[in-house]
Amino acid sequence: MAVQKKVDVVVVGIGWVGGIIAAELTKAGLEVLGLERGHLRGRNTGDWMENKFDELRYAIRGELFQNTANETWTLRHNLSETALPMRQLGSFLPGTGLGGAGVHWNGQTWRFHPRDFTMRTSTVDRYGSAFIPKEMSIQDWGITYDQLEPYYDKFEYMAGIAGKAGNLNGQKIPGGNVFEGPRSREFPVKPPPDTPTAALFRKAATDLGYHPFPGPTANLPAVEYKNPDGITRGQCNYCGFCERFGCEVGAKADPTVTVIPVALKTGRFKMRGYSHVFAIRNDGKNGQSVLYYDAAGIVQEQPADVIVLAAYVFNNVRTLLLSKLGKPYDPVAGTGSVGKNYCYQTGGGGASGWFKSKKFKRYMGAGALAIGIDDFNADNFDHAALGFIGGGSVTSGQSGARPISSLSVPPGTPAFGRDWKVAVRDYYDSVMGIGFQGESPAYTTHFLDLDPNYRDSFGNPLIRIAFDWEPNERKMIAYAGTKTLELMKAINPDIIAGGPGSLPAHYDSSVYQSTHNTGGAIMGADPATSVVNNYLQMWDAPNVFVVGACNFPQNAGFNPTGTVGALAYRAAEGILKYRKTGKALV
Amino acid sequence: MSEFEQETEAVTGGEGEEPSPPAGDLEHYTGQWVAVRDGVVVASDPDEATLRADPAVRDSDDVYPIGEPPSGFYFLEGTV
Amino acid sequence: MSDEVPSKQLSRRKLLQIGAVSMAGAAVAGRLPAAEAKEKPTKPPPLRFLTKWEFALVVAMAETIWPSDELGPGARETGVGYYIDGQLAGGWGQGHRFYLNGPFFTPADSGHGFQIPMTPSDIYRAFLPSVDQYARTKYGGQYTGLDAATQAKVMTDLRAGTASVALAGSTAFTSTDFFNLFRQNVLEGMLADPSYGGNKNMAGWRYVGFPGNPMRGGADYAKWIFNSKPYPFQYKPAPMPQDVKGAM
Repeated sequence: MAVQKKVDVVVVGIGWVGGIIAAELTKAGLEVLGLERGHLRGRNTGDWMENKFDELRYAIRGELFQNTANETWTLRHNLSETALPMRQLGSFLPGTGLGGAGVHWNGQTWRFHPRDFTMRTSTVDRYGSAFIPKEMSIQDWGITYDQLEPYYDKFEYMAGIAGKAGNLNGQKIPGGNVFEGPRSREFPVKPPPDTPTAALFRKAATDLGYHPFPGPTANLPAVEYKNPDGITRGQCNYCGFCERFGCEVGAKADPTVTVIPVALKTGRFKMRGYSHVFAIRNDGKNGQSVLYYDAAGIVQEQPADVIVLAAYVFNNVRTLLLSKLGKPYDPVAGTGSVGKNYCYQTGGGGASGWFKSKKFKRYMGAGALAIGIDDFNADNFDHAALGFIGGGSVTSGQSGARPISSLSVPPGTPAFGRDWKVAVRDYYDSVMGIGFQGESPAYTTHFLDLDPNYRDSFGNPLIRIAFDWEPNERKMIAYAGTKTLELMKAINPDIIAGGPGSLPAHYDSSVYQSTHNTGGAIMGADPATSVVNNYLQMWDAPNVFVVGACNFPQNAGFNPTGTVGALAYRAAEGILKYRKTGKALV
Repeated sequence: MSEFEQETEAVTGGEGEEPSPPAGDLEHYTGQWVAVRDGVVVASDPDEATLRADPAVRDSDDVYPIGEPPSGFYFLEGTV
Repeated sequence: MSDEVPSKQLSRRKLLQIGAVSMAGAAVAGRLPAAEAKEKPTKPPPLRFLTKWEFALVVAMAETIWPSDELGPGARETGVGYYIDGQLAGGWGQGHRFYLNGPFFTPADSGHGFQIPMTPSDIYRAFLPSVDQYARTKYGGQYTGLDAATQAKVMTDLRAGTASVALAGSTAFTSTDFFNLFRQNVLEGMLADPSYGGNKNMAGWRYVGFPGNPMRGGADYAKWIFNSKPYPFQYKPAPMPQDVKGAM
């Protein structure tokens, strides 16, 4: 095969993680090559300017997402089932191309709680080890919130996140999230005002004794903001075409608008598109090069001193497995860590309210324009009598009600015909919802490996996901539904739907829920039970860094991107340290 | 009146056997509450209170509802 | 009597009765955006996938989902049939983003979605004759010849899965699945950008109250979204920028 000229650092995947690492390393003087499987062109603000307001093209046909015809994932609900492929996109929507999902995300940007990073120790301390189901394999991260705080700060200031601090250096600030970990300083940008539905939520939550606060958002409100790299962005127009679309004004923080231009400007960042990395050539202790298919499908070899996998959870783990780098997880023997602790996001237990004589202008919105409470997340409430572990964020947002997908009608409305048509017009603009986004604990039987039956268009095995809902999550969602209903009753719409929440008999891969897949290359303090250390450096191969939500030992009750960004900045620092010492950093 | 008519056989059920789900599977309880002990459903009922009052159900059992597939929790709107 | 009343004030039902409506919404729309006012009635586009028989059935079924009445035009008038035909002929309908490699299994449990080696265009072609066969057998006539109330019964049976219509005996894609797919396509046809062949003259947007182009008038949603004032253009949609300026 053709061998390319060696580079200092090769980064696989040029999304948020690849973009941040490229920017930080090139600013520090390193030469970095980014390999991206998708297009480099056609994905910037100028390209979105005139054609993005097309719900069918982007939100439904999913032009910006991975094409499952070439490569998909298989799912089995238990270890005795034959895994079946996701034959079209469904429960999650991975990105591809320059900027990855950082182009089409909503922009909700959170920090995980201090307890989230010590989930096992904290749960045992408070409730005893018998409280944890024996199949639940939650694990501490090997890093604390306090250690990660400076990197969260760095991501938020780069992205211009708008919000209100609820904890400044230990002092609780009403109006922010009083349950969050301590911030060293305020958000870089003030939050936008409440929408009318947010105001309804705020009043209800306050009357009930909860602690509402504005959702932290990467959709830049009407302010001038220049980030520490000198980047200014456009201001959000609230066009309502956010998630699943690119942003034509650059108001949504996006790698193609923030960190990738910074890397390119140094002159030390080169990018190659249509370069589909599938393996790392290695001797078990050192990564020598990455192997990829070029635009003609021919295998190329790219040697590098440092290899960074930044290609999203499934591609990162699959690359390690195909490379036989790191020990694959064996659920029966309980050995190995590559593929272990795959988690998702537990959604359900929401409430809806329909109003006969209010209009909310729901077609206006921004992806992260929301209000929330954290009172029922993590261990912020006492679980002793409840019989489950974990919780989630409760939010109500206005991201833009594009008509094809937003015709919400009250329960009992027929599915078609005249009466349905009347209800559609009466209620399209007159409904609000309260959603719950719950933690996803890890289990010994939920993991990733290579599928034995199905392959991608290059002939490589697909990633096989073993996952299903467990009793803990079912009880969590039942409880969450009682809380969102309580809030909705306090808001007092004309018609309510809600009550104890439920999950279906089995995890359904065909219906969109969340793109928050995590785990498979988890970080930890112990090489026996994790793949990377707290610089995201592989225990087995110190010149290989694996970075992203794949590092989460379990998933918290928040969107992951803020934490992914923090880990990317942490990894960048680790790579620079490694370049000096040439050794393991932990 | 269509100008082109087609006759087709009405298709009937298949002859192959559907594999059955493992014991304890929640598949057949969609729309109901279940009480589960050691991975097995011991009782079910459409109503939570009725189920909890069932003498076959112990306080230590896991009790929860089984729902329809979700319509997505970011989008409050479910169209069907 | 109708001659004395300006056309703007005639109710939609009246106009339907006197046959005055040739383009959906045009006769009663009041002030039209500039792009529409210039439009002349045109020949319908050629069918690119559906046969004429299939098209007639699709239109009739779509009209059952979203009927025409005094509230607004339905699927037939807004071009949903042409929308669906175009989609079935195009990339999605031809399954370009579907993973169609075997082996194929009937799923052991729920939650695995679509598991058959057919594209949406294959599914329509396979299902439509079966729908009609079901209508004949159960209700005594082909779908397009039944009255609206009976058509609605057929549709209800499809949705409930009580219509014994399935693909090649498979339980992996039933009449309920076809109903869900079809209904979704009808919603798309009513509410997607008009350049796809449906939502003619933005009639679907006008009906539900989606104003279309968020950038009209200088992109001022930021001035509206945080207050409770009614947006004056909610029922007066503007075309999206690409539809006004055309291809570059």
